[in-house]
Amino acid sequence: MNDSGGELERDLREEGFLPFQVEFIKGFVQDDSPRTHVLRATPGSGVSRTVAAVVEVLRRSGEAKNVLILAPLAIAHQMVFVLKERAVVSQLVDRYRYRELEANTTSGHLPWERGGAFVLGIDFAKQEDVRSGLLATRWDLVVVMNSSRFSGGRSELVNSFVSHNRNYRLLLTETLMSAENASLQISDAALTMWTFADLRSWDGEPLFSPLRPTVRTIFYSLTAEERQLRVRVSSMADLMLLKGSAGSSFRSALIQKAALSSPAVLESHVRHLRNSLVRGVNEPVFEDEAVEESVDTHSEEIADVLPRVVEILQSLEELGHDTKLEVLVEELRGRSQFAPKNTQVCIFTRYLSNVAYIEAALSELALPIFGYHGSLSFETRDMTLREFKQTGGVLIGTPLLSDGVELPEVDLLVLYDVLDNRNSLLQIYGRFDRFARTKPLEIWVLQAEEDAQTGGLKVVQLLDEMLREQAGLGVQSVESTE
Amino acid sequence: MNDALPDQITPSLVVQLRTRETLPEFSEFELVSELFHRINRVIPLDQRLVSVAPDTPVVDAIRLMRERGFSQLPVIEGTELLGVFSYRSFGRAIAELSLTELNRDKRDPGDLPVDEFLEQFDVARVTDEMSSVFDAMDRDNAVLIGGPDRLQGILTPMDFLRYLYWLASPFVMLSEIELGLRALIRLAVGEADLRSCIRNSLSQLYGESLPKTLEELTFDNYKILLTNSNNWPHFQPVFGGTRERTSAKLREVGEIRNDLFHFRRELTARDHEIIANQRDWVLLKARQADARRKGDRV
Repeated sequence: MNDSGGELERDLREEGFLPFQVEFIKGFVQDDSPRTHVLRATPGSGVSRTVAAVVEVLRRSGEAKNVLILAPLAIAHQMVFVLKERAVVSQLVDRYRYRELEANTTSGHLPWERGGAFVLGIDFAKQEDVRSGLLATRWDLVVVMNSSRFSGGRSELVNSFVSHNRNYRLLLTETLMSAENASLQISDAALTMWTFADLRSWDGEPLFSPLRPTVRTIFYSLTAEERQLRVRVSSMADLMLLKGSAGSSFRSALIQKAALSSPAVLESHVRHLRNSLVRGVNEPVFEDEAVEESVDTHSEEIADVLPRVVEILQSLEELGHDTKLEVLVEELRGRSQFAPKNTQVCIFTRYLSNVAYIEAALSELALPIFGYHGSLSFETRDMTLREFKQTGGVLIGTPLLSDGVELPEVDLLVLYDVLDNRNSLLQIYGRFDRFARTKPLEIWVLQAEEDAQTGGLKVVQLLDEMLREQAGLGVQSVESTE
Repeated sequence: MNDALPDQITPSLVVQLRTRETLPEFSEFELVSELFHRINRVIPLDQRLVSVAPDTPVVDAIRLMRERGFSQLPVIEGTELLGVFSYRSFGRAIAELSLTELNRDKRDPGDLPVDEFLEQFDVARVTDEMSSVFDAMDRDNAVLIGGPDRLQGILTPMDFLRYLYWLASPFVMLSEIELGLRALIRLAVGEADLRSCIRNSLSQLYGESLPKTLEELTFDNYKILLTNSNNWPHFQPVFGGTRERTSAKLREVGEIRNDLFHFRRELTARDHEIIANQRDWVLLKARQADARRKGDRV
């Protein structure tokens, strides 16, 4: 792009872009810049907005008539929104819209050839018929968002774009704090890193200094009833492994994890299992977490496992306490008596079923409660975050909260479920530890004494390691027992 | 460019407009068109079209149909649709063949290529109205979607049935849940206690003009009524479990109900499962209550 760099820099600066963002945009749009770029950035450094600016600058100059953006679905929705803010009209293409585009395309041509900015969820894009058309299209710019978290068919698609005989610009964004993704094969790419140290103002002042979080592990003891239920679940899971077909090990592991979360989540999983066994619903569990593996049922499994399923559902009906939830409510009750009115608390759970459940339990605390999950539209989610930031209160979110959300003013993060995956933990932590954070984040980890060796302590350890690597400081860890 | 807006908005125009960056407000049109239940919505999202080449032996085509549970297969040469091979087209043609004709090629019928047994189905577009294909569906048990040189899908009566069930079943199950809840509340508390429960839980909401009957309450009111900490001891024997779990169940299903009845969004597969599960839960409570009334136990 034959632009006077000074003019572009001035425009972007006036729009509030920061020096490291402007430098990247200027470098990327130059004619002689490498065709493949990797932008590895710390969460919260403005990647989506920078990508939108790149698209806008290249489209305005006529150098990116045909743009493809691939992203996890939540990010894809967000990109359409961010592009719209820069007056770039883009289309979020799902299967329905694809069929309509196809129906209005001349025979022998691909829907993408008409030109435009197309945003696709990566899981739709990887489907064979779509994938082959995408790879056969002449693009000017291809952007892959959050590529570091892809595996399987997702990373295969990205690798195809990387190795494709092509003449387009390719930009991959990654999260700096993620472990390196071995399933991506990227070579000869220009690498740009935005670490905490790079985040500086136009005056050269650091914009963000990581603050040492305090992690409090709250121990509690299960009741005899709860322990008995755990035993039942474990025994059913073993039976599934023994009697079940190919997908049973996966399903069995999901149910065991669900039992660690809450009775509501366990019930949702067990009912789904019952539905699968009885009605032959051959579908993955409908939770926010990505589940790609399909499951099969087997008649022997039905005969042996179904009675256990019914037994667990019966136990759940009779279960009088949920100690974990009760402990959380009491802790929050105590805290809210002394905390300022607009205090922001975020409860992170892996499961959608927990949102309504925790909301119901917290309703007696007379605090504003907000749910944030995939069943809400993008607009509702956006409004929810605005209200939460304005009024304070408790935000209960699922893994959907891990992407494209900025929560630097949250005072307390409660990890309701055990997160033993480093990337998931870092991704969620990045929502809070970012620009505009002025005080250390307080984190609560709820830990059953029975799970002491496997649960929350591992979270503390992972977080401590990660912060030492990235920012040279670890966590301050405290423990308490109920 | 407002002068470019024509009198009639056609589906193809909508697609053209979508790609025009000069008119961002035109992107709103796609939302309007997508609200209508046209053929595009009926094609299963996971449908992957399976077709065969014209020289495919009948035996292979039938094996494929049996394995996949299909009754027909589009026959395609390159990108061009030649017709459809089906049990019916094969049956009809083979019944009309004489032994002499069969012997002429010295081949079993199963070895003959499928293009000798083709029939022609109607082809509809994804933007057509659902009702426009009913006659063709009635006649052929399927209709092709796309165009002669770009086949996009195939629709059968079962696809229609599933789609319409998907649309209608939440309404039916939600009515069962709501009526079931009313009946269980009546079983749990008598007339006088009900008034007191309404007063305990809904005074803040309604002030002086408190509802007097269950029929006057909204679904959200039921949730508040049932799970109010003062009222819960009345309802626990009927609903079982904890107040939080009962509240969560009603909250989940209540939110879906409101979204559905106010047409705020399309329901997801998970929403359908939640409604079905909560309906099963209310049914279980109803059976238990009936059994107790009969002096029996489930």
